[in-house]
Amino acid sequence: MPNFDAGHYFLSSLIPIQQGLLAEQPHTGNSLSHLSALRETLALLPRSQPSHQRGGPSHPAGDANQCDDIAPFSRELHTHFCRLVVVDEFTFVGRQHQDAIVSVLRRRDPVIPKPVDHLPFAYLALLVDFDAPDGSRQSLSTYLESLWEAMAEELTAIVEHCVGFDPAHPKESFLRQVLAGQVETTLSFHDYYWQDKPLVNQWPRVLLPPFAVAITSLIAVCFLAPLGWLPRGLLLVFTLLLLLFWVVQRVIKVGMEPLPAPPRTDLPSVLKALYLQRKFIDFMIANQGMSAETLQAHFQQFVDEHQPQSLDAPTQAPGCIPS
Amino acid sequence: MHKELDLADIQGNILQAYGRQGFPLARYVLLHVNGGREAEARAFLDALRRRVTTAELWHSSRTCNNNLRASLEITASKPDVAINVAFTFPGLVALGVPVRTLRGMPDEFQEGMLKRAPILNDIHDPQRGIEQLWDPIWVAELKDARRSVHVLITLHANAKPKRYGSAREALEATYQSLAGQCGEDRGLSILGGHRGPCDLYQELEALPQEDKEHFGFTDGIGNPVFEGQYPSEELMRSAVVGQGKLMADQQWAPLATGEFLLGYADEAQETPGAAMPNDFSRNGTFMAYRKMHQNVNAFHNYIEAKAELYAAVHAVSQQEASETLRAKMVGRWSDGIPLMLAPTYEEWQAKKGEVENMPKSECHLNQSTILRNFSYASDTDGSCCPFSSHLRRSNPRDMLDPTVKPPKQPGQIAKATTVLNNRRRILRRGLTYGHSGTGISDQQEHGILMLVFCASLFRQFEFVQQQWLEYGHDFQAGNDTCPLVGNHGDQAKFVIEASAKSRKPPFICDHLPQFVEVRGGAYFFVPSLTALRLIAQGLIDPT
Repeated sequence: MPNFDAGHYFLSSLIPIQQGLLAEQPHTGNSLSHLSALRETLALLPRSQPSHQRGGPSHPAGDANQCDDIAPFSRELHTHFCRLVVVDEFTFVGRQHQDAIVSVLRRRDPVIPKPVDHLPFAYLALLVDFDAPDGSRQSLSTYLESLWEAMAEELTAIVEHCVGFDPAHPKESFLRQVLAGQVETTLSFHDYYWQDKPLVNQWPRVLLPPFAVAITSLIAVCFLAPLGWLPRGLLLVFTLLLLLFWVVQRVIKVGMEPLPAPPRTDLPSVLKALYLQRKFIDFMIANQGMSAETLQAHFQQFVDEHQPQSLDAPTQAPGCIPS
Repeated sequence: MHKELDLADIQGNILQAYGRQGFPLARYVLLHVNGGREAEARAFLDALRRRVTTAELWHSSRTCNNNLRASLEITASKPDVAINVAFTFPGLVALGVPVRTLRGMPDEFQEGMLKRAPILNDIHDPQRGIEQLWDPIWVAELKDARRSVHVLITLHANAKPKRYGSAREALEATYQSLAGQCGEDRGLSILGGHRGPCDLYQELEALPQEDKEHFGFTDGIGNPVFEGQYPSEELMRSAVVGQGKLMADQQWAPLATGEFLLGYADEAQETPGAAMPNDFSRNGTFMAYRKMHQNVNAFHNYIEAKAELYAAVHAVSQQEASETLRAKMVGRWSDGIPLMLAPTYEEWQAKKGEVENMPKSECHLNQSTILRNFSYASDTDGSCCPFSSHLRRSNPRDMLDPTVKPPKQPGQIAKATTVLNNRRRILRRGLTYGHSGTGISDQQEHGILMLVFCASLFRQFEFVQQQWLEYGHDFQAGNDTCPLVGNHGDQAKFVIEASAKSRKPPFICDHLPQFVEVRGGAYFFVPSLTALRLIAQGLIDPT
């Protein structure tokens, strides 16, 4: 279904960027557009990197359980991914093709230029995949508030260049900006979905009620209604059209129902799974060729140390990508 | 229609491995075009091009079959020294190739291997950095543009030269005549900075000791086969098995010529764009030069140490464990028999005699066909040949076909094809340098020099190197790199899959040391004889 599926909310929002210029720059006196300033702010945001690429003594290779200087979005523990993109213009792909003979017959002069369309604003596209209980507006607002609490400073530096920002009430205006610019997400951003049981075929559920009504109507029209054959026929066609409309409505309704959330696909579970995967490989390597008794004893130590059932520590820190 | 190539226009080292044709010694020389002396450099090349060895037929393994000899048109006599030429991008710039032609050269060739070393994961020790890891000749240009590598001249000496007493004598005489025409006051100067006994050139040998490379494996068994490569249908039919592409009817067919030569249709069923004019690109190709040091002692010591654990876990002898670990890493037993043919030590022992007794003619056709003819569709769990083994990574054959699934009934095999692999094939020509063995430390100079030929370095060589050898995603191996030639870092491991039936856990080789270190290299354009003439005469008209 749009926006929400399998326990995840997929947010797409297009926030218009302010036109015009910022105040003169203090040192140079040059002007700077909001668009340029925003691009620079985005370019300088810290990004998550594989831990081995960070280098330096504070980040020994492979130590992904803790790291700093990472994407600020990782401070919000429902965020699977977030992407910020500036969408500033359509790409003009040339005139629409016209058949040369048709053009001549309709007296269209190919020398006359066609209009080139433009976006009214440049937009900041905010695309987020986060854990949510449902697809309601309340869930979205709750998440945006939580995101604001986690990274108000960075978000201010971004959305202050967008239309509708209010420095006196930054949090409220941020929520308004995102909600006003929301567009429906019709394709989910991830493919975490799986189920232990195969998906139930929904067609019987969709078709059985209309089918039952169709049979009843048919019997009623044919045998019960004291009408001539022509009104009977018209009534039948009308009933069938109504039923067809009903079927389409039911297909859309069933299609809009979100798939259930698969087990352990929220962010803390995913992080714990990644952590356990790495630790278990180490465990396997260290215990190759051990006797069954030793292996069992060591596995007990492994369970005690890494607590597979606990989503709290020890786990992998969000935003860290192990090498 | 059978594709006939203009063999006299194609450089001989693209179509054949000289080492297999009776050329046991080689010497590679790198040169720089001296600034302001381009005309002299072109005149030198104009004289040299008449001595360049082409792909014309001579009596060799390609023509060794007596029945065929009569039907083939042998147009060349085997040279005493095979000479070939290639250029780097800065070399083409220095020789005055027009900008319009240069801009048609691919990005990766323009950037060169040195700049792309991080993409290729070549820097195994970031603390030391590429300037210390690579031979000085490849990194000198970072400090002094007058030491940039422009031209490669390769000399391969015939074992039985006509005009000289020995291969070494032929090689020395040819080199001296070449060196006599070079110098700072001439068009080209020979660059120094090869590590090893000879600063001014790289001395090489075709695989010595019965085709064994330094780690002790038989090498050079398989190479891609493409349309037009062999002069007759009969030779092609034999060569294509296990080396061409596997079709839906499970027959092997030659790959498209355009995968290995510019100017021909490739496996995408189109002729890709290349630098203009067509005469400049057609019948030429690109080449990656890779000098790779082998830490032979580190390899043997690691295998012996791990074999103790393997022997204990699998209850086998140390000898069997050690041979098995070697084979699992490489994908072939040390004598070249593939794991897909003999998955276990017992089967190898049984097959060994059978293969050794097969006729091993000069052209290796009969024996090699057995060693090459296999696919991976029957090994969906990697229990025969590990997913991460060197052989499977460098040429996954049909394993990436999405129709390959575990068989529902025993003996049932999916009819998979190599279609996802056909655009990633590379021609490899390997030569060894230095000596290894008892009493020789890993610090001494020994390893393999590999030349990789392909029409697109980016799509073929770099993809295989980056995605298959230096990453494990396509092989269900996460971030693991190739156990043999990969960059191993601190925590490299290699997983040997076990079949579910064996009820054994997979065996993991952990903390792999760095077995192979890249010591330098570059990307070269290998021109056709026509293109070489155009470059040498300064007559390229790209309009």
